[in-house]
Amino acid sequence: MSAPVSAPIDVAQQLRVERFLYEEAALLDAYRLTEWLALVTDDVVYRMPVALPDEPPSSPRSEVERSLMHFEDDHGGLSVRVARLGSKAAWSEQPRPLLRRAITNVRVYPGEDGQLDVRSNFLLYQYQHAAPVDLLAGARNDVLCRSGEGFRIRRRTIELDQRVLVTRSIGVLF
Amino acid sequence: MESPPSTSESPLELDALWQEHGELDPRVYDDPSIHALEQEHVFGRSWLLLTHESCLSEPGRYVTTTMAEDPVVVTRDADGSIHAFLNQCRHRGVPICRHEAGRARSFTCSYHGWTYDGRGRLLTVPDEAQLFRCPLDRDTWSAIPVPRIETRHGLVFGSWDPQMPSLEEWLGDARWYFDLAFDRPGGTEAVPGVSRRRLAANWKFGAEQFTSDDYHFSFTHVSGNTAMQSQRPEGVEVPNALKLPISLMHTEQGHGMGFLSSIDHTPVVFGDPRIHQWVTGPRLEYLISKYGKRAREVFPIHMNFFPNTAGLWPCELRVWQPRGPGQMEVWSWALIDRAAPSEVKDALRVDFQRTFGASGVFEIDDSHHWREAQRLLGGWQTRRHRFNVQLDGRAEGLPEPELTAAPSERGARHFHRRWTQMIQAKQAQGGAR
Repeated sequence: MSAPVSAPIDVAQQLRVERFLYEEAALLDAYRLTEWLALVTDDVVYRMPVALPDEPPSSPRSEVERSLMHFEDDHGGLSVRVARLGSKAAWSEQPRPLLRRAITNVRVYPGEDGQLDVRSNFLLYQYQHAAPVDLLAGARNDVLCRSGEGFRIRRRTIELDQRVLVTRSIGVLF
Repeated sequence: MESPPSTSESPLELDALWQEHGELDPRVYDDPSIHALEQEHVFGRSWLLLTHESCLSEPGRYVTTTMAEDPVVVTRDADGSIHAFLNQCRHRGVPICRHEAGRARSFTCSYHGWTYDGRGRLLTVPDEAQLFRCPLDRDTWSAIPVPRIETRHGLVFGSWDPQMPSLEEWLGDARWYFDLAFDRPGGTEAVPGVSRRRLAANWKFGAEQFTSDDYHFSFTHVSGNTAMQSQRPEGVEVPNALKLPISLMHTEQGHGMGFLSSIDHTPVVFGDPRIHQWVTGPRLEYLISKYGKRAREVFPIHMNFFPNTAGLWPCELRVWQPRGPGQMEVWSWALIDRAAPSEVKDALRVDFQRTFGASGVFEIDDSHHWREAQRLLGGWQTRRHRFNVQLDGRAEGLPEPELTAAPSERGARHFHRRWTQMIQAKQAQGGAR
């Protein structure tokens, strides 16, 4: 998705969206996940596809939609993850890793039914034990719907810039 | 064997790595000289999973993978047959093919342009007539072929050993269980995409756990299980996955499987009711017609076929790829029954991804423990003291039965015994028959 750079920009809306994404990122970094879960809609679709081979796609779009995913969650699936991550027996998170993410390159486009299509980039740093630096880069393609003065996430598709995953864990949320 | 490092560790004696009363030398997980022996004597003399047939859906399709650490190209030829060859140019050793998958009639090395056909045979060499004194002998200078390829229920295996027994013989007493795990009405297809992840742990931590470890479940997976219980949708029964009636199959060849002793228990495993209806309906009828009524009493949950081909409920095929002594890559496919309704296919895929996919609520804690065990092995003391593999042990000299109730580590003992025999280049007892 893109728009000509000369397209008019709604500065107030851009700032509102950025602020929402920054506050959301702060909740994820701090493992305040129950609060985070309140920011997604009941019909949320949350996905991270497995990168397919870099050949021209020969299969129709509908099949690509059914490709393997690292995440393919609805609200129930995300609730299970949040419940697990909140458990003292979530061993992979003991000791709790230090997470720090930067959300950048935020671009806001008009979507369907007054919703917003929002693209952003992320860098997620994870530290658990003294180990090689664990840095994940990628992009998120969100559909945000308005909710009062703020927004809620209706759809999130995460594009992780790794083909073979090389990280402590992708058991956290993005 | 290379000389052991000059420390005060006990010398590395291969036949002492595994002791029959159930003690294992931790150096099997991280010693570079053992790793080198393992590549040759274990992975060089085994059947190794290459891919699934559906990833080579038509002539000209290829995938690249590794057999242990050796890169190979796997192709489907014009006549439909499957071939594999070492992905290394014979001229200066550069990869012949740099892509993960695709379609090609020939492969040209990007360094000097040597070109190989779909079977790895050397086709053309730039300016060959002018630059080489005589035409290069094609039998000598073609890509190194994988001499043995066999396919069973869509799983494509290769072996470097021309003398290997057939795959059927290799599976031995575990063959019937393998068939039950992978034979499906109408066959299977792999969902597009291979999940691959690097893990800082030796491959044997995973292989051994999938062979026979149900013991870890109630501790390791308590957070995932509790979360699934507490978040279950209204009216959906999700009985406690920690209390499954699991039986274990294990063989002297090192293969092992944990299975539900009644198909009626399938809804307790993360159950989507549509999956239950399919596996207890059309799929079960098919399996009973081919494998007899006992198919009702064997519902595969976790398995490892020696050395590194694994499977897991609900639909996962996985291979543990070694990457040096202290690292592995886990490669996973979702294998779906071709004849299943599309909503069942979706449910199987989603169930796998949420439980034992790379981010799955159970997988995350397994990976964590393998990584943690490996992390400690850089020490001096941590490598000196043997690990305990004695759960459900029997007195020395008694034959171990083929089946036991979980938890039991008999399968792990078979695994380590077979592995130790193989790295000493000894013919494993009960191996080729």
